Amino acid sequence: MNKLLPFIFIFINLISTKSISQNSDLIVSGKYENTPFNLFVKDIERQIPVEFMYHPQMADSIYITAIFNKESLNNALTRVFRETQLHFFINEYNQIILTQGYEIRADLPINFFDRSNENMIVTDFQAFDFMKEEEKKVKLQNTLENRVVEIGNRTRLVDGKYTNLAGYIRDSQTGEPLVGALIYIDDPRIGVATDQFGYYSLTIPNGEQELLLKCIGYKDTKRQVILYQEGKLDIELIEDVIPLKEVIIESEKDVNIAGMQMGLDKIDAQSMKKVPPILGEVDVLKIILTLPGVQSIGEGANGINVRGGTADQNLMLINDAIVYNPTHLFGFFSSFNPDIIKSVELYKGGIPAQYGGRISSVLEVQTKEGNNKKFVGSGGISPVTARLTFEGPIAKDKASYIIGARSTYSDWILKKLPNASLKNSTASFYDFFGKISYDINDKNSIYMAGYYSNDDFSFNSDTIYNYTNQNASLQWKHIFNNKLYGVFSGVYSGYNYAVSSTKNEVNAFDMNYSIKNLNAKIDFSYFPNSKHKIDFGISSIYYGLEPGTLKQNGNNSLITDIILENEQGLESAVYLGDKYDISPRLALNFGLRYSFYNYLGPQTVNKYAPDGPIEEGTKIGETTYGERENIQTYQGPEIRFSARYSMNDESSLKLSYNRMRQYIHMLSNTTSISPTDIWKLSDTYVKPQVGDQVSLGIYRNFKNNTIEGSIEGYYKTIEDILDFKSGAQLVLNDHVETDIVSGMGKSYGIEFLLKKKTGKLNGWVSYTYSRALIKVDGQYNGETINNGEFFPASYDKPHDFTVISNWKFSRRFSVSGNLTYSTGRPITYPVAKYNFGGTERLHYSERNQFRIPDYFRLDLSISLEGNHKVKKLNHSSWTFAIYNVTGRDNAYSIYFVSENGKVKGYKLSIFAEAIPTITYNFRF
Amino acid sequence: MNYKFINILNLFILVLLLSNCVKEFDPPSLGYENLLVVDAFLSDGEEPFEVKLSRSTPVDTSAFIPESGASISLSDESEKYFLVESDVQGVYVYPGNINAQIGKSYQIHIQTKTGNQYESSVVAMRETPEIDSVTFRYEERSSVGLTGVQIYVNTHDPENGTWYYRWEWDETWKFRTPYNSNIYCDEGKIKPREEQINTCWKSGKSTSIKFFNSKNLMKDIVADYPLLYVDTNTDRLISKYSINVKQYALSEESYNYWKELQKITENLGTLFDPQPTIIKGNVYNVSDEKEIVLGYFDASSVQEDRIFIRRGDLPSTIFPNYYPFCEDSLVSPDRVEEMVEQGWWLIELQPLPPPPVIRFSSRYCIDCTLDGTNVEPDFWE
Repeated sequence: MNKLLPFIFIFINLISTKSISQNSDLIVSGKYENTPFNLFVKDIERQIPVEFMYHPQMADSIYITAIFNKESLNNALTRVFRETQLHFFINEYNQIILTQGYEIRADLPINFFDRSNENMIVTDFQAFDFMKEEEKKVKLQNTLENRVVEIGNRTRLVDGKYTNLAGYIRDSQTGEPLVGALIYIDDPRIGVATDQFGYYSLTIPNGEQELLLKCIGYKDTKRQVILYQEGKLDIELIEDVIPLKEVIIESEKDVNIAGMQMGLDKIDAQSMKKVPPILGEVDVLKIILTLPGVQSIGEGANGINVRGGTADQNLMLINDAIVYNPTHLFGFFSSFNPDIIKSVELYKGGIPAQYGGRISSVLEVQTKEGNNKKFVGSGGISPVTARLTFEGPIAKDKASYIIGARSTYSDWILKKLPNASLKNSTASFYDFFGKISYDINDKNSIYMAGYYSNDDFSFNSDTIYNYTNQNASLQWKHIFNNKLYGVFSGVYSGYNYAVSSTKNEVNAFDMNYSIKNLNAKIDFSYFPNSKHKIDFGISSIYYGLEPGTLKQNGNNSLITDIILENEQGLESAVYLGDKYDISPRLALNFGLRYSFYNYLGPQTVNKYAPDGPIEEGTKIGETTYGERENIQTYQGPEIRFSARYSMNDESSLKLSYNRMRQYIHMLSNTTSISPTDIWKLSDTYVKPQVGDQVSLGIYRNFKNNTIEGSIEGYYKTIEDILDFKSGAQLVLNDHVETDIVSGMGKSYGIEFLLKKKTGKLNGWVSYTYSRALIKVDGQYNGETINNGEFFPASYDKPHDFTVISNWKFSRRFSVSGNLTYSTGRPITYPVAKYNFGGTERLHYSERNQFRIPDYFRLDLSISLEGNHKVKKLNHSSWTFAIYNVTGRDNAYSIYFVSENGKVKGYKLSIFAEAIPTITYNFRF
Repeated sequence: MNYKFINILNLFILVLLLSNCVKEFDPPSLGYENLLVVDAFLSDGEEPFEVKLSRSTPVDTSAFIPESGASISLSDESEKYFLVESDVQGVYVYPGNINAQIGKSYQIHIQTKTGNQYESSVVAMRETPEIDSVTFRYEERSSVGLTGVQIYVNTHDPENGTWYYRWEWDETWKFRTPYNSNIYCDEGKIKPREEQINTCWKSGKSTSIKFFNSKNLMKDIVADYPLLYVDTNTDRLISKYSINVKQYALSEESYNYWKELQKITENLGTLFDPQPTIIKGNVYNVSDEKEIVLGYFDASSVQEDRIFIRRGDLPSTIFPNYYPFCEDSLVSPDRVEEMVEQGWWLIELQPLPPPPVIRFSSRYCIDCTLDGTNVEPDFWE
């Protein structure tokens, strides 16, 4: 309630423009002894022409004992309420408004704001400008909040019936749709969250309703509607900039309690800024790594491991397009430009039926939509990169564009390195993003997006590497009626890398690898009534792989061209998910996805002797398949189930189970994945991976929902996880099945999270205990690891503790910190030393039985915002950050090499020193 | 053809960001496995056939544990040759000449003192094509701030049948200490030195694994395979350097053995390290297939080629200087005993200008026999 207070003040101010003088004319008399408040009110109202306005609950326990002898109303009431929590206010219509806990003052609003800003420096005119601007917005919002909107034809109203209301929820400034905004009514409690287009469809009882709206990062608001008939209502929310510290509007951020979803982490652009940057870059993937249940091999390592899954088990999407390599510079930076990211969602469990294809997680990068009201730009400069983003309307309120580019100029750093290294080496990367959104009319919208990232590097001008991601998507959203809409998407994704070498003319080569996929899908959302939300759709992905070509480079090259046969696969799925609110307390989400996969010709498939190991030696022939001929089919249902039971407004219990099937796998026999690792489709010999996960969570909010707490436990198994035989050759191998073994994965853990999203001090604390184990127990020699026992995966780090915090000292100055501790990862450790050929060598046997030292890191950053003058040409901010403040030399690995005949052990650390950086960001 | 994408990539990153971040680590011993190690190579040359048998040691020790008391034999298609343990424990030698022949198949049989029986796979002796040339080029390594000579090897098989190669080498170099001493002090008396200790020869063997396969080429050619880089920060290029390159033809199996061994014992320490695994050789316990036996038995002819690199082959602007800290001092003859007691060595009597003084320096700057031999090797030219 108190959050609405400022609005009430202003609202009252709007209608009572003059202060009142006639109060003094009102004289009351009377003798009251333990008189119930309502009787007292009646007596006063009888004496003088006034009207009390109050909520009966406020006063039901108040008894009045007082004697008035021709006293002024003001004095009388002051005496009466002195001992109570109540305050009164008399307006020009002689209405006496009672408030509890707060006082209504007549001399608003200027004094109100003055009063609330005692600590403000008076000369801060910019701030004052800003305040006025905010004030205007708030006023506007207030009018909207109290204006009653009639929907439909009055004559059609049928009392007591449920009717549907749908529309978009957008940002008032940029017109950008808001994802995950809650719209609901209180009695009966019915609500929905907006989808990825900011669209909602709500079925509520007819008649007068107060719609309540909440969205993280936005001011809570409400709308008064009288619902006669099915209709539309678009709503704009005001960004919660919290400029005036006394007017912090604490909303009931109870999404995690009331929401259905579990195992979901959402990071929005706001909170991304609160995490100290690394080498001057705000990096989404690095922030994801601070979440419970997310691990990596080590610092700068490419790939994340979610709840004990391998790095290839994450479905990474940008605008619905798969990103095969989400990093630049081998993993040091994510390839997502932070300026174009609206939010990032990571599903670790309870994955909805609409997603499929990867076992462990879905990481969806929601990109911003262009500002459809005015042209704006933003950018930043850090020691490593520069970035620039423009957005603006193509047609006001209808169509907008956003384009962003980022590039590195790290070459000069390489040249400046003290040990004169890398004179002939280069490393560069860039990425582009563009998106057009067009609302053709009420029913139709079109979205077009493209993304491209590129990395080039060379070592000593000899071998040149290049890798790129290419993505494009086209989506058409059509609203059939209020209760049904569909999204028709065509998506293209590609990844390729190339290696070329010219130094030795005879061996000069060009090597290429590429993977492309085309995805056509239709997703429907249907809102039949207030209790159900049904999602259903179909999807089909066509994969085309060029698993490797090796070609001569130059006229003198003697390289025999190797061109591996292309691979084709078709992964299709139908799904249906129903979110069913059985009662306000209990909600179920039952989903079923059925996926089928075809490995398609043309292809020559090696045949091996039955009942024996798959080895080069057991090959007995080949089978040739023609164009589009089906070689192998895999299929299966994937059940997705989740349930939520709310114990009360502040706590709930959630349970989920999901099965996932994965038909594309990464082949990598290094501990950390590298840009030159390749993807492989399931084929005759490589089976799909199947993962099952159950999770159970308890959610509780504290302190008026300002602090969210959760405990989630999970247990997950993975079948047919890929591992490799000793000495496996994965690149340019046309019988890669002979080098692959399959195993199973098992992981479990418990994740504790406390999160404070608002206030001066915000951030989160998380602790996770988890294990990730793998078992490889093949039938034949060379297909067993650690005697077929479970062994810890390379990313198995049982204890993981993270604190992310941000302290806002003032509107312009804030400090952020990030503290991470985790158990050291396991490595394979030598068990014996021996002398062979005059040199000491090591013998390794059991995999991952030794751990490197524990990891600890503290990062700090300070953000200085430029002034907030609204009319200022550009806004800027500076970020000073120190990565690894304590300079601890965390081990990335411990390794041994034979040098000059002797074995030597080393500890390798990355970023072993404190690394300070400065970033300059601007907006215009 | 050897694809070292990942290695190069790693090196790159290493230099880029980790220049100061590698620290030595003393490994504790964990889960020690005591395994038999077989080191055997049969050539068609004159050298006696030798098998080294040892036991693996814990990681934190450096002792060599010989496996003595075993009986070892080598068999070809028709005959069996019994080896005897030499004076060096764990080293078994065939006393005669096996007269091994290319194309013939060989197998070794081992019975340890405890009665365990081991056998190698049957290995056919391969013919190694001749080395076409060993060449060198002066190259600057800006990435590591070094100057030096890169040595390359070139070979080819006109029959296009070898495809897999491995090289070892012996290197020998002549070097000079900064001071040529012609006197020494013997019980207080200054005597002329008869033996020269200014010029010596040092030698070493290859310790890293070098291999190549030409399987992906249209012809069986090895062109400019970079064998090793000799930099000017060592004493190798002070005077004259010689390298004798030995070439071995490998089978696909032995190639894979060496490749894996190199990968997990020389190639770690990068961001994208390969997963270390058990490397299986070709020697097995006859009655227990699962027992891990380390090492390898291989057989091929050997080709050798020797080259010399003279000081004059380097650019005249490059001065290999291995003795940057050497200084001499002039002391009057009456302090000789005191100086000698402090460990200084005499260089020469300096007559001019009078009075006479004696030049001294440290032994390290005078006596090349400290870490070399002053006997010229017979192949030296």
